Amino acid sequence: MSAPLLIEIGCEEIPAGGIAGAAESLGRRIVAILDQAGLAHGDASAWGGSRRLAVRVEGVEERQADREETVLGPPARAAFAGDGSPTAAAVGFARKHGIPPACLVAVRTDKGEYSAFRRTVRGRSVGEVLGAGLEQAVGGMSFPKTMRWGEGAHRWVRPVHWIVALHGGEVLPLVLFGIEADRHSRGHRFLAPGAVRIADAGVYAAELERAFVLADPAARRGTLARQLAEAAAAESGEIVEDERLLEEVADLVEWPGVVTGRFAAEYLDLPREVLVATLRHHQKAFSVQRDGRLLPVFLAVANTDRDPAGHVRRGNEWVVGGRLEDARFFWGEDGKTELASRVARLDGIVYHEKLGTYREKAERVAGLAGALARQLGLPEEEKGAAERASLLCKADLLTGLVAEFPELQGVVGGLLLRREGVDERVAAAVYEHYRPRGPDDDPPATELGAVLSVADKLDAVASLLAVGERPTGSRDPFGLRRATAGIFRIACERSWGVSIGALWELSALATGGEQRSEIFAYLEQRLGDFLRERGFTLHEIDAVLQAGGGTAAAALPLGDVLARLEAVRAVRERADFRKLVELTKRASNILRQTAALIERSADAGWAPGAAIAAAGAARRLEETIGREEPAIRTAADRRAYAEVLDHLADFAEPVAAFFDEVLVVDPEDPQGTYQRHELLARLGSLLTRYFDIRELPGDADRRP
Amino acid sequence: MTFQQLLLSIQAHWAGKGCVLQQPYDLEVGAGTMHPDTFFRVLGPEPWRVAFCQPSRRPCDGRYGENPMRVYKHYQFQVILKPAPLDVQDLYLDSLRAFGVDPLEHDIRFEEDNWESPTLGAAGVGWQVLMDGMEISQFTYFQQAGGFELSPISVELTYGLERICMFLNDIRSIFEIPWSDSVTYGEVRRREEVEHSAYSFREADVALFRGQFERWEAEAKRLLSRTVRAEGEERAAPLVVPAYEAALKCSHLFNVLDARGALSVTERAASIQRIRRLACRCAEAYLRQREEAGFPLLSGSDAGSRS
Repeated sequence: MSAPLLIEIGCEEIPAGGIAGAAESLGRRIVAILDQAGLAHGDASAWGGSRRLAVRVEGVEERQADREETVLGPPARAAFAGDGSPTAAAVGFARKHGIPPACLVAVRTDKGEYSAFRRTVRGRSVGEVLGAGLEQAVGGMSFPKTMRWGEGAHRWVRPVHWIVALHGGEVLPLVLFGIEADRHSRGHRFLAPGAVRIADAGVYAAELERAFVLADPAARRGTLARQLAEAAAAESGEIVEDERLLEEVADLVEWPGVVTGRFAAEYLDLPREVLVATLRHHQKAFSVQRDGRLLPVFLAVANTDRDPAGHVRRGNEWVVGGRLEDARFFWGEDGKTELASRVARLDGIVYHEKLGTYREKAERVAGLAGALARQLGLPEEEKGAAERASLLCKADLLTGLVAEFPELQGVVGGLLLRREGVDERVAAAVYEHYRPRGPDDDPPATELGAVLSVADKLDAVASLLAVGERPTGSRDPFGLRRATAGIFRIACERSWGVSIGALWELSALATGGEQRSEIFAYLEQRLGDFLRERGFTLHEIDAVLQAGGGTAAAALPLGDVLARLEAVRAVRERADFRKLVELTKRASNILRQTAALIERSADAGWAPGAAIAAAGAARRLEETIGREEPAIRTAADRRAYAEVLDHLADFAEPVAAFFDEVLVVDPEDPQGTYQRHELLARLGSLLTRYFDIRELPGDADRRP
Repeated sequence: MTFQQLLLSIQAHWAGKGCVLQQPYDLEVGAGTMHPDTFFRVLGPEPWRVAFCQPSRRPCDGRYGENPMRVYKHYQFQVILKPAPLDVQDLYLDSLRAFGVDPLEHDIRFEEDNWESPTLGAAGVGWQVLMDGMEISQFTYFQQAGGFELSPISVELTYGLERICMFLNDIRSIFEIPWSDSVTYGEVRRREEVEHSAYSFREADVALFRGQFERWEAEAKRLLSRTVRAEGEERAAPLVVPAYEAALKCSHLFNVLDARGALSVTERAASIQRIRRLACRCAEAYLRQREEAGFPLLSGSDAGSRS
């Protein structure tokens, strides 16, 4: 009989930020146990709140099927006497297994004939299966940090208090973390402090909701988003969207509520970024705006939807007021010293023990930014501005505001420079030089900001790789992967004419001569990863990066890479193009065969041509090459890659005819073979010059 | 509720839960964790329950008595329960109820905040407890102290008494807290705040503090390496508590030098490491001492340590 399976692990407050992921991981682990035991089941759903992770798997079979098993005893020669009666060895074996010796039969195996008996093994129940595997599966879950508690016997993300384990309406006899499973969950810590009886695995979420727990993370997020929107609307405003904050606060509460608090309007004089960061960083509160201007209002999230005495609002307002006062103090203090005068003190802040201080880093970045600006053909005056911005860009590390809000690095420097009235291009470049901070963040909007951002990131990547700080597995303490992706994204989206080869050469300014080949390999590998993350397939990426005999990866301007990939993606499914892919692969196979032949005949002094002129299809192919080659070159020069590919697709028909009608390798006619080889070589080089289309799957790969 | 009523009620609450009611340590420290009845007692297998108020000095936090929330010295209430009972969160919430907080009228949350003391070689996992968005407690399951992995696990509860009292009285400045029915916190302490801030930030004699740091460090090392001659052989005989007190003095001297802006980044990190080495050696010596004594609190321990 099958029924839903429910496992809930109840514990003390789990750190925010990973609850949904942890619940899903628990689900996968439980499903893996069921699969391994061969227990049929349906879909799994996962729930999680600050005090629980839970999984329900639908339609889990109650018990494994019984199975027949043959147990081998001693070899038949030793087990049975001449008259077939059991020997002492056989009797001993039978006694050990508690069966009458008469049950022993002879069976044939690969290793000869053995005595044996057959028995029926009863399938294990779902309780037995989980009893054997669940503890290890749960204990092995990975969390950023785990702990021990009490006598220190167990280790998990937080101390565990209760376990619910139900198959349909039956409690499974499981023990986890020394706790016996039952059917009693707990509700909201304050609003419903007692036990919550779960009659049946099917009613879990509904029962918890009655006990003021929204166990579905997505539902909590949705409820919060709605409450925030309503609260903002009540102020005739809208919230300043912040998906990551929403994600985090949804993990902090099991029964979400939103409190509207106010602060003195005078704090609106603070820069918007500082105000939003203060509310977000210290109070995990949302800012509210109307027509793009902040209101003196914040929305705090609470683990309750009631505030009968107004304490929750007043408490939050009090703390927010203090924090804003602090922020205003720092903003005022930081402005008393020119940012430029702080640069010298960067000598006192170590960037990396092997790479010196931030002052040295800023100087390296200035060198890189200047060289990059020149490479991009920026006017000398802009190059100077990029260098000035580089030298200033780390000075805000010495401000009180950045000490308080590290996430505002760069932003604070830019704001201070703007207030000082320095060159707006410099202020903007400093402001945005950490961008993009991740895949969801925008890259810098200004050209100088982009130059500074790439210079800063390239310095980090190259210099840290040079001293052996290569990211491994999930460890990337300096964020080098993110930095590399940021470099590629900026260069691609701005259609810069720099290649990774050029970036690599620039990076020598940062590293001296250390680990040069490793740095290049890293850039090349990350470029592939970056393109895959943008949704291109390995085939498409290789078709672009492996063009020209594998030289394209290093030499292609990054701006071109995306344009080429998009062109490939557009044509690759077209029938004529798939046909051409197939034919190109065939041509390159034949070329490999004929190459050896040619080597032998190299001195024969054969002229190309005669054999081609004789045969119709070969002739036509030669004419097509003659006609298309200049057209392809012109289109490529204009970066009209779709056109290049269209021209290439025009080869499908003449190449197909060539293979149909012409025998390329003819042992009787070495000169003709040589000439046909030459023709194919010309074709091959043209077809793989801009795109190595052999990397794409052709028609043949489609066949079963 | 006055400050002293709050202190009395929280002491009574934890005394009622089987805690030894200790008194503040009579040295300058930055937190109750540094009290030997925390730092030493969480080591080893012996059970322990203690509660006390610890005046805690944080020279960097001095604000000349002008900031309504930050002070050079505040009163931290500290509770250690070893081993941490499974219902410790409920015990903690009961303590809030004991001084009049009804959780149904507030928003009380446990937000991840893992604690680490580099100078003590100690680390723990836990939360900051927020009431209506304000941090009122740190709640930590100690995992390590003095460089040792701990077993059993102790829980440390600390309360910011001033904040809680401000909250209960709905006042917005620490200096307006009624200490008793007749005087305010400001009347008792403000002058001291002004003077200590001036001293830590501007006046402290850097050369004196540096010299003292070196000498107390040497003294701690000497006491830890002390031997006695018994039956013809040299035997280790460290004076553990005096050595630890010398390390605590180093810690306070370091804090003042830090506030004074006298330490470079590398020097700062090196000083922390020097204090940590002393603390770890003290922990090791303490454990050996208790082991030699047969861990006396282990026998019949349940009566003394569990409520």
